[in-house]
Amino acid sequence: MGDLSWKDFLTQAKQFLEISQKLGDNWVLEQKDSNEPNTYLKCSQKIKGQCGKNAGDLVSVEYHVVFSVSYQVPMLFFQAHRSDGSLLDVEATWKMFMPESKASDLHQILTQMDHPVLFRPYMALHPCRTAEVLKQFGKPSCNQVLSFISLYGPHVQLHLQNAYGLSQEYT
Amino acid sequence: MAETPESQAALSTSSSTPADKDGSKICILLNATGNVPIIKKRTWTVDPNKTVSWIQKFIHKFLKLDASEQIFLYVNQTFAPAPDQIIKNLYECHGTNGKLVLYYCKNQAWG
Repeated sequence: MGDLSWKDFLTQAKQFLEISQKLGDNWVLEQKDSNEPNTYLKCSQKIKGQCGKNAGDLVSVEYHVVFSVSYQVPMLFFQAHRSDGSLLDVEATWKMFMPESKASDLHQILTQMDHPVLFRPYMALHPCRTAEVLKQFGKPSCNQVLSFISLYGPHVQLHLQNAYGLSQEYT
Repeated sequence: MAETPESQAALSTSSSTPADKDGSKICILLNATGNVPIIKKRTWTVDPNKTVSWIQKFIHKFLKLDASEQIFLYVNQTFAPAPDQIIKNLYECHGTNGKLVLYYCKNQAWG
């Protein structure tokens, strides 16, 4: 039971938002309309490029945590822009976020996919193992959305404060 | 919880420098969940400046897992700390009764 329903996702996303507000993070809940799956969590941050001739340049990244109807798990979508406004393509994104992975592996990890709410191409982490990984958490996690973000976020430089782990009262 | 001398020895080869003495180390308790093999010795002492990913690699090596499998570490049934987080910070936030309780599980992450 690593998967979760749309209703669970919505409840847990709201709990996550409450924790974020308490901790002073900049997560917001975007709601296009009340239909499944048109509500998602969003946050953005600026990170420094690490390799190539643009090392040290600031890249602004917007992360979306969207419910995947096909897989019944949260999915991480994101888009990265350079400071001149240009978009990082797939190769640039791989170089920036996963410099140590092989290209053959990367096709199974991070590719461009259709954003289920915005219907635009976004970079996305593949969801096929997410339910399995979440299931390994002994007792089911109190908030699978939080678990998901803390597990998969670091792959694309999205780090949560340690204090997120303290909020056990949200069950 | 008293620190066991043999657990000190077990990790000290790879983690200690002359500067840090055993007293400054952090006691962690490892719990297996899901289908991961159990490590008999559950209490370990670790250099506070080691990262979460170092512990993940340690468990991975200890259990001789396949390269495609990954160790996931988490606290409180819910939260997986970032791999570059150091144990000291994690202990300050999540330590109880003088030790840090960590849960671990394994799975293939992708593909």
